[in-house]
Amino acid sequence: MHPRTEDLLSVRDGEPVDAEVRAAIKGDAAHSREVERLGETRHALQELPELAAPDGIWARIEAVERETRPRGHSWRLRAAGVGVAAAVAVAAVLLVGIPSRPRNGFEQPREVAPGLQTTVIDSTTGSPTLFDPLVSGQVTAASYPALVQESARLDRMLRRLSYQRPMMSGETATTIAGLEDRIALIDEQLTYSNARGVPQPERTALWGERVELMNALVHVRYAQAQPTGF
Amino acid sequence: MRNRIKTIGVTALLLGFASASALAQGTGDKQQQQKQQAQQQAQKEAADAAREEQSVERDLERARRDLEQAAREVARLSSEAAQPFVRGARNFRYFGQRAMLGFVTEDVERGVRVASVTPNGPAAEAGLKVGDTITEIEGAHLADTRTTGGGKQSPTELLLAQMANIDPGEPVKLRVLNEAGAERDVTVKTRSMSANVWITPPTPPNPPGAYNFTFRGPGNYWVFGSNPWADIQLVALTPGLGTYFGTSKGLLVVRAPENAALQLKDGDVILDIGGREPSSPEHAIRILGSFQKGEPLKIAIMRNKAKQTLDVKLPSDSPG
Repeated sequence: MHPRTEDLLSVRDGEPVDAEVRAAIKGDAAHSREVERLGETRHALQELPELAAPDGIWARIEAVERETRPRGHSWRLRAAGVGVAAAVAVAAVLLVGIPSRPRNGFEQPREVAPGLQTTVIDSTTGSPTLFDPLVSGQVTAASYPALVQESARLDRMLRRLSYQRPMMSGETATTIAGLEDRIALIDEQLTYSNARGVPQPERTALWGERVELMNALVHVRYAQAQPTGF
Repeated sequence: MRNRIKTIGVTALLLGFASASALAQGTGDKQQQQKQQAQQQAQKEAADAAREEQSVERDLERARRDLEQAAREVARLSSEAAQPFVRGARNFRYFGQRAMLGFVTEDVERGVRVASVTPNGPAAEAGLKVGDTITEIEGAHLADTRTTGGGKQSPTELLLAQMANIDPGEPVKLRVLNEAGAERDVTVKTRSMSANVWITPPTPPNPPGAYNFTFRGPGNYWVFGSNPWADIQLVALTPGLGTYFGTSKGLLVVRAPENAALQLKDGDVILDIGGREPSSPEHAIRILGSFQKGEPLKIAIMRNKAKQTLDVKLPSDSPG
């Protein structure tokens, strides 16, 4: 029995499927993986923001395209440039917003300027959570799951970007290796903190740090994936 | 009279031909001129477009550099902020002795849930994802029995206890339950932490378990100092591309580093560095970062479809 794509999609969507077909899919690792992949694709598509095209957009696109047509492929570079510039802007915001962790996990928290605070959007409620790891009173219980969710979202984004294997300079590779190693260290700390019963404010700070580093890594990977020449 | 008329007629005919010819000549010249002008205009536009593309490319490259600088700054500030939990003189290098799996755990009833996956880590390479639950490691159950079965350790503690017996590089067999409820066996090839990560044990009077983690980055040059590998351009070889180079795997050197001491040339394929096979440019940099200044290093390459080994002595401004 060789299940069709429709069968796999039906299993993915929880729709009724012939028992024999279902058993064949369940018993085959490749089919199960494919169902999982289809589920992930759907999840990724569901995560895309809903956008409606403004009125008259096609006429404007046509006009812009007509104007820029003789200029060859520079629009692609422009698009890539805009992408990278946006990434730079976000990185700059990151840089300003990077949370500082207590120098010692057992020290008393100290006040920080509001500019050092980071806002994390809670993906379940859509509401922003002010994250300030230094002021324990402000670290609400809600910020911990929000950070964990944000970290998971960035993990998924990175996995999609990592499928691409573009040419890379030694400098970029150094930056990526550095960020990855730093994240690996944070992950080890988080697992140890979990096992050793480290208080939640300390673990929240670690999650905040992970989110910042993952954000930086996603932006570098994204910029790296943009084309430079044609 | 008839002759005069004939002469006038012939003259008029000749004049007519001449003027028509002149007119045609004039139109041809004008068309030629217009064609030349159009060509010049097209050449000018092409030159303008090329200049603009170069300018955009430069801007793009500059933006990338700025982004990378910002990203490094994020990591540098992060590592500065993460000061040791514990300060003590009895530091020892823990790397090389402890295997890592590369994910963050969260205790759940059936075992350890994967809360995040370390980018490019062992678990990521084995296909583990956020939301998977590890129910067994090497046949040992990880279910939380502290409230029901009288167990004393949390699932994460059980996992770490098992990992204490594993050497870096050893494979570990996990039983994994995904979010859809399907179970599968996954083998993860463990790895040691980066050579530049130090973990130190707790020191009294600090609380037990307050391990100290510090980080230097992949080589000294990653934030400060010159990087002799910065200008190298690498791409992972695909089997199709590899047919042109005589190997199915390795890293293609698209542009060799300017530093002649490194001996690499455009078109070389790096097969292994110090006996380790780099799987990606960042992996290559990580391997290179584990060597000390001035240390001899063997790089196996394919050059002109022939395998050879370069004996490289790392320059003094190299990683380490």
